[in-house]
Amino acid sequence: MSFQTFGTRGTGAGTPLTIEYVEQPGLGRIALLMVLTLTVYRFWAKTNVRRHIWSCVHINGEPLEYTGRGVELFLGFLIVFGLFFLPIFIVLAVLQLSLGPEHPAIILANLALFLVILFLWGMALYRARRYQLSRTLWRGIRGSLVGSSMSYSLLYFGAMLLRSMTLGWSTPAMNLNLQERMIGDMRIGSMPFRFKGRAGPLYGPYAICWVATFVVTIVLALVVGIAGYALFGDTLGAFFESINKNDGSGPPPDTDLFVGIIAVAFIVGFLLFTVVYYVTWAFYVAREMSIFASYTTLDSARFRMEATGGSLIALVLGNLLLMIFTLGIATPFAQQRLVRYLVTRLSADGIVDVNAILQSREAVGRTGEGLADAFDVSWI
Amino acid sequence: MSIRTDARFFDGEIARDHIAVVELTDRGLEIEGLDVRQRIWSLSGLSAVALPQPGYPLRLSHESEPGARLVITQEAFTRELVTRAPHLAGGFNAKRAGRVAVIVAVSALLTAAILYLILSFAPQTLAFVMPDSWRNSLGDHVEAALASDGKLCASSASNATLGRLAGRLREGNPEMPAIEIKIYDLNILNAFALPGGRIVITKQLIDAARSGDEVAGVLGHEIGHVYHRHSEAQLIRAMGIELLLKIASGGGEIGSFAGILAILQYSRDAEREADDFAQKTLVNAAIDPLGLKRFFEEIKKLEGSGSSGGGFFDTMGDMMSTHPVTDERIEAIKPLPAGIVARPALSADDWTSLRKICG
Repeated sequence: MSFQTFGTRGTGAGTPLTIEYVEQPGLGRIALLMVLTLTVYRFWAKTNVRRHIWSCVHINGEPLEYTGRGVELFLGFLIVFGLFFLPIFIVLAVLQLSLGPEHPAIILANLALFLVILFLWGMALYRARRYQLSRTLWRGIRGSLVGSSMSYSLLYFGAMLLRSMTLGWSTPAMNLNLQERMIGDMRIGSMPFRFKGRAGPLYGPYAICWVATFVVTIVLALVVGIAGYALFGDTLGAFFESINKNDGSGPPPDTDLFVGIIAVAFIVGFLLFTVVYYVTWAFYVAREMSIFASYTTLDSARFRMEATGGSLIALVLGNLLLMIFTLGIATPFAQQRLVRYLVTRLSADGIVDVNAILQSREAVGRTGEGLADAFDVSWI
Repeated sequence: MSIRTDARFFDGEIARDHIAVVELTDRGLEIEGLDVRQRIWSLSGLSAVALPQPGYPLRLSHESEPGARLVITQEAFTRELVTRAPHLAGGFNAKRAGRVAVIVAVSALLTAAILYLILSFAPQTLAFVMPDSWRNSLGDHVEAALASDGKLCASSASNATLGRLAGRLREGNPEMPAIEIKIYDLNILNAFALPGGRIVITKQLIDAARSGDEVAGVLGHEIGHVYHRHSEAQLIRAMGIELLLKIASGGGEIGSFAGILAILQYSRDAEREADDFAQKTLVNAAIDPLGLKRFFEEIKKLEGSGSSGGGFFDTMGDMMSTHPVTDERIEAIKPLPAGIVARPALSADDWTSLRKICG
C-alpha cells in the first residue's frame, strides 16, 4: 500500500530509487478473457494485461501506468500484415503456381525470406520496446526510445551472423553492444539511461557454460548409445545379422523395430539435451543480467540485479508448467511472475534528481508492434 | 454541498509532484495549490487510471490535460466523487457498448466478404487468367502426386485408340478444350480432370464400363471440368485456405494423396456444370448419353452394396468420394433428341484394344 509514500516528494538534490512489485487483485478476471486470445480480441486482452502488470510496478511508491490501447496494436498488425506478409504470400503463391513447388527458385525465395525475417527481427524488438516505452507513464512522464530501429536491426543482424561464424563466442561481446544501443537510447522524459562497461567479465561464465554444454553433449550421446545397446543389443545384433544374410528380396523382417529403437533413442537424447542446454545456459543468462544491470545508470543511480541461475530455472520451469496445464489461459500470470521476478530482484544505489526529469518531447507513434506481434518476440 | 481534500498533483510537465487542494463542487473538481495554477476538471471528462478499489489511492486523469494525474487518498472523498461520477467505477456504458456492437458487426461483415473473395470469387476468376505454362506445371505436380505409385498404360498423345476417342468427342464440338487422356493402372476406380487439360482415367474404370459409350460419357464429364477450369480454381482455393490457416497458426503443406483428392473434390455446382457439358457434347457428337447414365447407375450400385473395398482408406479414392452420384444427377441425363442417330463412340476393334490397354 502506498499511503505512507504520500510525503515522498522528490524535491531537493535527489532521491534514492526504490523499485517494488505491489500485488493488486483483478488479473484473474483479465485472464479469463484470454480464452479469446486466438481471435482479434487478443490485442485488447494484451493491453488489459499490460495495464494491470504495469500498475503493480511501483518506483518510489508511484506506480507505472500503461496508456497503450488495443486498437493501436490492431492497426499495427493490419499494417504489417498488409505491407509485408500478404505480398510475400502472394509472391510465393505465384512462384509456386508458375514454376511448380520444387523448383530451385522457390528454395532461393524461401532462403531470401528467412534472411529478411532475420533482419527484421531486431527491428521488431526495437520497435516493440519503443512502443511500450512511449505508452509508459511514471509520475505523468513518458518514456521513449530515441534511436533508429534500422541501425539497431543492422547491428542485430550482424550479431546473428557473427554468432554462427564464431560458434557462439562472439555472443557476450555482441549482446553487450546490443544492450548498450538499446539502453543508451532509453529515456524517461528528458533523462537518459546510460550503459557503460566491458564484455570481459562475461567471458568467464560464457566459457564455463560453453565447455559444459560441449562435454555434456558428448557424455549424453555416449550414455544414450550405451543404454540403448544394453537394453536392445540382442535385437540390434539379430537385425544386422539378418541384413548380412539378406538375399535382396526386400527389407529384413525387423526393419520397423530397428527404426523404432533408433527413433526413440534420438527423441530421448534430444529431450535430455534440451533440458541440459537450458539448465546450463540459465547460469550464463543470470550472470549477464546482473552484469548488464550493474553497467546501467540513471542520473547518479546505478542498478543492481540479483539474478541467479537456480531462480531463473525455477521461474521458467514454473511458467512452462503453468502454461501447459492451463492450455495458455494462465499466460497473464506467467507474465506477471516474470515481471515480479525482475522487479523484486532489481534495485538501485545512488540518487536520481526527480526535479530534473521533464516531459519527453519525442513524437509518439500512432500504431504499435505490428512486427513484434507477427514474430511473437514481445514477451508481454 | 462541496467537500475538499489534500491531493497530489502531477502536471505532466515535470516528474516532481505538487501538493494541491481539491474541492468537489457542482462545476467539477477544482484543483489549486501553492505551485499549481487553479483549474477545474469537469466530472464528465474525468477517467480513472484504474478502477477505484478500497485501500488503494484513486488516480484520475482528465481529457483536457493528457499527461496530468491527480492522486486522491482520502476514501470518503473518493466515495462521494464516485457517487457523483459513476462512470469512474466502470459499469455498463450504453454509448460504449453500442460502439463495440457496431465494430463487431462491421468486422463480421468484412470477414465474410474477404472469405467470399478468397474462397469463391477469386479462384474462379484467376483460373481463367492463368497462363497455360502455369497450368501445365501444376498439372505435372498433381499428376505426380496422384499417380506416383501407379503405372502409366497409355496417353492420347501416342496411343491411336485414345486419340480416336478424343477426336470422336470433338465431332460437332469445335469449342472443346485441348485435352490429353492418360490411362493409369491405379488401385482405384475413378477419373480425374487435372490442371492444363489432362484427364486421368484408371484401368478399373475401363474394366467397369460395358461399352465405349460409357467411357466416352465419363470423358465428356471430365472435359466439362477442364472447360470450366474447376481443378485450377480448386487449387487456388486450396492455396487461399492455406494462407488463411497460416495467418491463424503456421499451417501445413498440402501434397499428400488424400490432400490432392480433397482438392479434386468439387462442389455440387461444379458437378452439375460438368454433367451439363457432357450432355451437350455427347449430343453434338451423336454419342448416346444413356451410356453415361448406365455407368452412373452401375457406380451407384457398386457404392451402395459396399463391394468396392473394405476400410476407409480403400474407398476414399473411389468415384463416389470425388464425384458423388445422386439420383438427381442420373435423372438429369437425357437420351439423344429425336432425329439424331447415335453412332458408337468407339469401333469394336478400338473398344477391344482399350480394354487391353494396360496389358
